[in-house]
Formats: sequence, C-alpha cells, structure tokens
Amino acid sequence: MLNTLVLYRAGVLVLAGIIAGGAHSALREKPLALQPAEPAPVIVVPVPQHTSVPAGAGAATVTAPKPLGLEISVPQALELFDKGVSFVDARHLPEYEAGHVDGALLLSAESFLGGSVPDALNYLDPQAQVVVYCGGGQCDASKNLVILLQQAGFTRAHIMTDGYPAWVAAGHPIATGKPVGP
Amino acid sequence: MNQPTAMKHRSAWLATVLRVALGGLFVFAAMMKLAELQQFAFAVKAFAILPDHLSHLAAFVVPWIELIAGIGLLLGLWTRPAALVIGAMLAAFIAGIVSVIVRDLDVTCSCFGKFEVPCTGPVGLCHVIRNLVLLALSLGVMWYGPGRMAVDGCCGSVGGLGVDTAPTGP
Repeated sequence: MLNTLVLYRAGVLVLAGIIAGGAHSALREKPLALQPAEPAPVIVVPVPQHTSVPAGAGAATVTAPKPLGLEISVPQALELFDKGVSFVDARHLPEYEAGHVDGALLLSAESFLGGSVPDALNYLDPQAQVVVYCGGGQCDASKNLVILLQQAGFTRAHIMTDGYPAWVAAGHPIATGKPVGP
Repeated sequence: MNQPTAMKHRSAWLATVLRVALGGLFVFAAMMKLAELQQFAFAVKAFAILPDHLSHLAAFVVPWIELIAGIGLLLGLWTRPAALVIGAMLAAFIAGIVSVIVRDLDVTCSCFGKFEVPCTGPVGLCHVIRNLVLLALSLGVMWYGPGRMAVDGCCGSVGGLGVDTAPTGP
C-alpha cells in the first residue's frame, strides 16, 4: 500500500499545492488579513448642559439624530431657527410688537374662530416644520394654536415650551414692531 | 463469474465509489475555502497553532493541496499518493481540532465554507468524528486502490500511469 513511489508522489502533490498556494498569494490583489478588522470607533461627544439628559450622564454615544418631539427646548428651537424654520408667535399683538423672535409670524388661536383660515397660513408650508411659542410657563396659547395648525394639515409643528422669555434670556435674535404681511 | 472474481469485481467498484466520493468532497471543500478565503484565514488564525506567517501561508496552501489531491482522486490519477496526502491532512485537522477543544477556544471551522455539514457551530466533537470518518475513507482508498474508471488503470503497463495501481484489496 505504501512504498517509496507513493511517498514520492505524495510529496510532489504537496509541493504542487505549496507552489499553487504561493502563486495565489502573490497574485492576490487584496492582502489576506488574519483577524477581522476592528469595528469603527464610536464617536463620543460631551452632552451640552442645556439638553434634557439625566444628571451625571456627562457624555453620550452619537448614533442617529433623534427626531424632535412636539415640545422642544430653546436650544432645539435655535437649531431650527438657524435652519430657517418658520416661527409663529401665538401671543397677542401688543406683546408681539414689544418683542418677538426675529422673523416670527403673528398668529393667535383666536384668528381661527368661526372656522376661518387666517391669511398668515399662506406664509407657511404645511409640510415644513413650524415652531410655535407664547409667553412660556403656564401659557396655553401655543398649545391651542398647534392643535389648530395640526387640524389645518401642519403635521410638523413644535412648541417651544419655555416660550419667548427663555428665548430672550438666552440672548437669541429678537425683533420689535408690527407684524409683516396681512 | 466464480466467487473470488465476483468479490474482486465488487471491491473494484467499492474502491471507485470511495475514491470519487472522497475526491469530490475535497474538491468541494477546497472550492468553498478558496471562495471564502478570508474567512478561512480567520479560522486558521483562530486555531492559534501556527505563527502568523505560517497561518497566512496555510490559508493559501491548504485549499490548493486539497484541490490538487481531490482532483487526483476524482480522476484516479496517483490515487494512493492523493489519498495519503488527504489522510495526512485529516490527521492534522483532527489534531488541531482536539487542541482547540482542550484549550476551550471558540473557533469556527470554515472547513466547507458556508456549508458546514453535518457539524455546525464552533468546532467540537462532531468535527473530530466527521474527520475520523473521512480519515477511514482515505485509508480505504489507499487500501483498495483506484478501482474502476481511473486514469491510473487506463494504461495498465508498469512504468505508465498505472504504476501504483495494482489492486491490493482483499
């Protein structure tokens, strides 16, 4: 069963395999790794103090941008402001004239009374995001207005819960004077 | 056909079946390894037996030796040397797997690429048994020789292709 010739030929077969494997190694364009590549490093960034993260968290893992909820903070509102999102002031005219978020439209819930659609809606895109605010604290004007806006087809309306006073306190852009448009 | 002749006839066909089955299996295994060469390289490294440069070499060489020996068995060309090579490789595989089991390593085999049959999951006793069965088959091929329909037997004469083909089976 085993003789010198068999052993010799077995050696030839092994040698042929070594040569073929060596040639394969030399001709392979992509180098062969011996260990799987390390997963991409996870980016860890400090969480700003003003976000609603539990105390002591300190840092958070960045995965995907979290969609904004109905109620948003002033910093989140500022991000939308910087993106050019429309702001709607739900307060009364005198308050608006005394000071409002720069570029904000004046639109109160009362303007929807009687089933009419206020002209100010012509300035807004129902598909786009809208930030509504009022006096902050206990004011319900922004919530009432958002309900009406949702009924009018605005599905991406947000409420800046801390309202105009918090916006001013944060030093963000404001303006005074009468509303533009109708 | 008298009784000894009939037995010899059956042995020749049994040898053919063993040879083709083992050769086909190893050609398949080699093709699967070459198709998933990177995965096989990971597996060789994970066995933690060879140094890196030899692991790298083994990842390329082992499938090619399997392929060449497997083709030899399929064709019945240099049948006994091919069966000897495959038997030696199986013995080495068994030793490696036992080593992994003893060291309690979590290693996948990549022996047949994506088709890990009949053993799935990390290497273990199933892989040892499977390779022992294949080792027995290779010993059978070495014992019986090429059988029918083999290149080794086609030219018959000593000194030709059939130089190691004389059936020695029972």
